[in-house]
Amino acid sequence: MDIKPIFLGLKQNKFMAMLMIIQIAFTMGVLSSSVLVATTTLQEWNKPSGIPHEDIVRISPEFFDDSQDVGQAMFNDLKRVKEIPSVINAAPSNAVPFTAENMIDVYLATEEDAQGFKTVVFESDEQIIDVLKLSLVDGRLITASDVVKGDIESTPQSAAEVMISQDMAQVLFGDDSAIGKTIWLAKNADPVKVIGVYSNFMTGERLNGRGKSYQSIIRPQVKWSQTQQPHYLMRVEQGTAVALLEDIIDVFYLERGRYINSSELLKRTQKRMYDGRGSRALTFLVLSVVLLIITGLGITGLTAFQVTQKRKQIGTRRALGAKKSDIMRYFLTENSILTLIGLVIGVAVTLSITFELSEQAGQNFFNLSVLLMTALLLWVVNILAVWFPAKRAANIAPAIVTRSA
Amino acid sequence: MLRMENVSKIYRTDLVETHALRKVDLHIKSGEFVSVTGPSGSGKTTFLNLAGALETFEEGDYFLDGHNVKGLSDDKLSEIRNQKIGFIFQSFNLLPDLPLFDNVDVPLRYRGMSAKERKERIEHALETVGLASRMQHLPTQLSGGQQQRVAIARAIAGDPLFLLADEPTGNLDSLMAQQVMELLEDINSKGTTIIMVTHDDQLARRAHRNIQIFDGQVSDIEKSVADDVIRSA
Repeated sequence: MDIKPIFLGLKQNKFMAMLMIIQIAFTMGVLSSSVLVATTTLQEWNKPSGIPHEDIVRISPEFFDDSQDVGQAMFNDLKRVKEIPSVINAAPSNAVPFTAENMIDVYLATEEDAQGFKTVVFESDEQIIDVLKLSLVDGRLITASDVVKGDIESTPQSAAEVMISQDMAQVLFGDDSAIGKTIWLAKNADPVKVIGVYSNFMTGERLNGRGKSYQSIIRPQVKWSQTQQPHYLMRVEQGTAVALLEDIIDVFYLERGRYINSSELLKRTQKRMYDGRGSRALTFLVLSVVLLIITGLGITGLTAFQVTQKRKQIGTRRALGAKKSDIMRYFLTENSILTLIGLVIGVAVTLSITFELSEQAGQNFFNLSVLLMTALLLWVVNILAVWFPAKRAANIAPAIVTRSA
Repeated sequence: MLRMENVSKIYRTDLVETHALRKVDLHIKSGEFVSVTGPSGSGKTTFLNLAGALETFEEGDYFLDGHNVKGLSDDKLSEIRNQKIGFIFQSFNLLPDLPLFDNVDVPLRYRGMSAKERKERIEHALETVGLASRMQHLPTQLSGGQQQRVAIARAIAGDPLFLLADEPTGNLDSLMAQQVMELLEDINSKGTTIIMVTHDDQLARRAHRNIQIFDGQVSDIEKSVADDVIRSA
């Protein structure tokens, strides 16, 4: 079918055409943006944690008695907890995987305009590598002699060497080896040297949401004060975490002058991280489906209205030789033209929405294949929406032309 | 060229059976100008619909150009309408969104002609009706008489077997009606068969032959006696 008559028809019915284009463009914009955000969100859902989180327990004690020796208590805690059968290893840590605590910017230079790279710093001892079951990728592991330990007030020095994760190394140094390189954990801080690169593990939601899930640094230092004590991370034998939790808590209560502020299996910590994501993705998807249905019904309604308005014209075409298939094709082609224009505008809207969202969230939401699939889906829905009124149009009898004017 | 044998058309509902046409026998030869008259409800429109292959019928045979159209598929009837019949309607039935050129183009496109051939035919048809200079105008920019002339151009552009005119002057004032009628006579004088349904006795009298329909039955009257019949009706 030639499309010239369709264009001429559309030219004379600009309002209706504009209405349909706007509806399609709006739907495409909202639908594809929602689907892009939802799919990106869900893609993050099953990212590997990089650690055996089902077998790791976190305990966070807090002293209320200022006279207690925190350092000694920590020594006692670690000794006692490691004596529990099924506890494989334990380490103090100022940060916990999945929670994105202690998030900072790391720098490759100290200039005023130096670029910062988001990361989470885990201050811990040499056992943390084994507790999180990380593997060495490059350089060397931290050792007990690397670890700076002490009360914050009496231990002004800090660890001058760090290990960084694979993703962190990639972001900072690309394909070059990170070993021996200098980085700054703050712009006016002392430089630290990278001595090793370990396998990735997930740091937490805030970084996770920015596609930086695996950027982390382990600094071999454990510092404390009466009001600031590290968490404890313990890896236990597979499948024993739930049963062991109470025993572990009991051990921590052996120390006087403090209470257990919180305790949690890292499996639960990971779930908490994802809870909000699931609801958000589901909400977007439900809204998308509802919008798709509304658009489909809207297109059906507009086309049905047009068919009713143009009964005589359709009958005239039939009288002049149009077959039923010609009438169907006319409406389907007309709708396809409007859909195509709407989709092009909708894609532009989507690009601007996803660009804005990506800017705000620091995460790339754009995905060409998802965008094309959404456009295809909208096209199919539109074809279906037009199909039934078009079928009704095709069934208009040519004899209608000889009835009253 | 057009022959109906024992053609009947019955409209059925759950409660009523209406015999719109009863055993019509009719033969129209090539080049004739035939008027069809009859009172309202007599079956004129049904005759028009059957003659124009706009509707199907159950009884009898209808031969068009030697081929029986009875029982043909909807697509086949569309082809026949497109290739063999030129329609002229009382209310013109031009497509309001299309310029004159494209209105005349509508049946030609369905015939699958090349763009070049269509253009030649459209221009010639619009020249014939005296509207070649206005082919890019929309129908709404024309008077009623001009619109009917465009409809005539559309009907003749495909060089059909015959023109089927349904009250072609019914919506026109007398001057315009006169012009349209003269145009139809001119077209007929060049060999195109015309079947014209009309209420207008004067117009009917100008045809070679008059067919009257009463209660679904056709009486075919030769020109020699047609004038008397029309005068006394």
